[in-house]
Amino acid sequence: MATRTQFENSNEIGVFSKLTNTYCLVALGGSENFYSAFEAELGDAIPIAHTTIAGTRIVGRMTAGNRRGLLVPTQTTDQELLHLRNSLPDSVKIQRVEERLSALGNVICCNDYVALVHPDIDRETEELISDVLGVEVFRQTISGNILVGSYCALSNQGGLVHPQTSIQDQEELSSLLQVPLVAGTVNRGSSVVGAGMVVNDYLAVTGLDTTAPELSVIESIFRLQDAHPDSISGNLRDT
Amino acid sequence: MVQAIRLSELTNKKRANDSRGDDSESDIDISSTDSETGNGSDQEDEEIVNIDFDFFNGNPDVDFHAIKNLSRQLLGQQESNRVQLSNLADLVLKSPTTTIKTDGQESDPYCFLSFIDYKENRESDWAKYLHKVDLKLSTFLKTIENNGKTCALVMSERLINMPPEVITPLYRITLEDVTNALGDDKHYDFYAIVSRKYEVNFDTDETVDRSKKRVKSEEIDYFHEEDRFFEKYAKLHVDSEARKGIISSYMVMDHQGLIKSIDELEEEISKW
Repeated sequence: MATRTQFENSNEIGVFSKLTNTYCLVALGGSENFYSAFEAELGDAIPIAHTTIAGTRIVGRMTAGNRRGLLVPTQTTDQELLHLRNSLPDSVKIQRVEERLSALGNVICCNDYVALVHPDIDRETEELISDVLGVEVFRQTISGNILVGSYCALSNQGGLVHPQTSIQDQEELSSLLQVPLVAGTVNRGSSVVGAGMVVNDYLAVTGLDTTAPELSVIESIFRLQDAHPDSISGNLRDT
Repeated sequence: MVQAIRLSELTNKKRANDSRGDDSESDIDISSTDSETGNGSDQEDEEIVNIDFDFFNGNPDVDFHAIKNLSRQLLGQQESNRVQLSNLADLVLKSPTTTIKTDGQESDPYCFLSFIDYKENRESDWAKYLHKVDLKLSTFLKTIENNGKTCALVMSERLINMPPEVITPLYRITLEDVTNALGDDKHYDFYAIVSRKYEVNFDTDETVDRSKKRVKSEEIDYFHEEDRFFEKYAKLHVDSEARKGIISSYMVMDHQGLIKSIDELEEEISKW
């Protein structure tokens, strides 16, 4: 299911929210329309945590996570950490990361099996990502763009990369990530696809400006046509 | 992608080009990211920067996001949350609109002026917002619906350092487009204009409760120069309360009033 919404007139859904298969984070202060886009689709399937990170509302850009864990930046306050621990399922490991590149959502792009990271992140951070999120980590760029989290939206079924990605790079990344990739835009021509939308195995949320062709590309690459919360594949994938 | 260009390099290149007799357009991209290099060269050699302002019709493929941003600027942070800006931008691009760009057809406009037909778009989110925003304006619009007169909702906004000299040609060109669109040399009977003003001495750092301050009338100045003349001829003029020093103003003018205001503005500017 792919839906459109807005956070206070902004179409950058991936900035104000974070969606994984086991939990969802949303920023405080949005209108009811924003929250209902998530609540309507997620219902009781997974918990939705309303929070700030380091006092900011850009929770999607500051954090990185998948079904197994959530990484938060150094500046996250203790209260926020406590709130997250209370709201998220116990199976989800939450870890504060001491990393110079603190906008983790911009420098890490991950699903439940693999992560792409900014070429300059610390060795320790790379190990933490591998431990907490349980993924294989690759230092990569997306066709020269080092902010891999901003220019790629990734789920276990597929990925959307920014429109200037060459065919060779798409093939290379696709073989790394082991999912089909497509180059496209979101929110009526924006190339920052990672920040413009959020996606998990059965739901994608994009900005209101997203055109019908953009939405149909998203539905097809992330295989969302008939997806339901119960149909998430819990099986181990043959790596 | 925006490229950082050293101003002195560019003018030296331009001099070389000029001496060769080339007619190249200045390719200046004054972006805030290269302010460090920019400031340095500005102090070394004070050059005159030549910028061409080109007028275009509204282009739905290119202008959508810029018009949305300019509309957000016009309405202010608070009010723009009460309006569907995407719908408004689509409305602007459907109606007779003129944009001003400096980098050719495919670049973002820095200024736009649009005349949106009120009756045709009566059910739009923008028209409904105008009814909600002020009672007098709403009454006026309801009267228009019943008495067969025509009214245009005027939307105009520009970057703050846009020279006022462009305003008169902007209005004249767009009014011409409107006449062509309406056919038969017709024009709108009334114009409802949304604009904004500011309080000159407003201090954004002061978080003091305004009622405790000595209540003297704040000096108010115009973002849009033409408002000075519009207000003179306006049949209806409403100012909103000051939100952090910014005031929204709504004016209704008849066709004669608009023409007179533009003529007077042109006269005023020619004296500068």
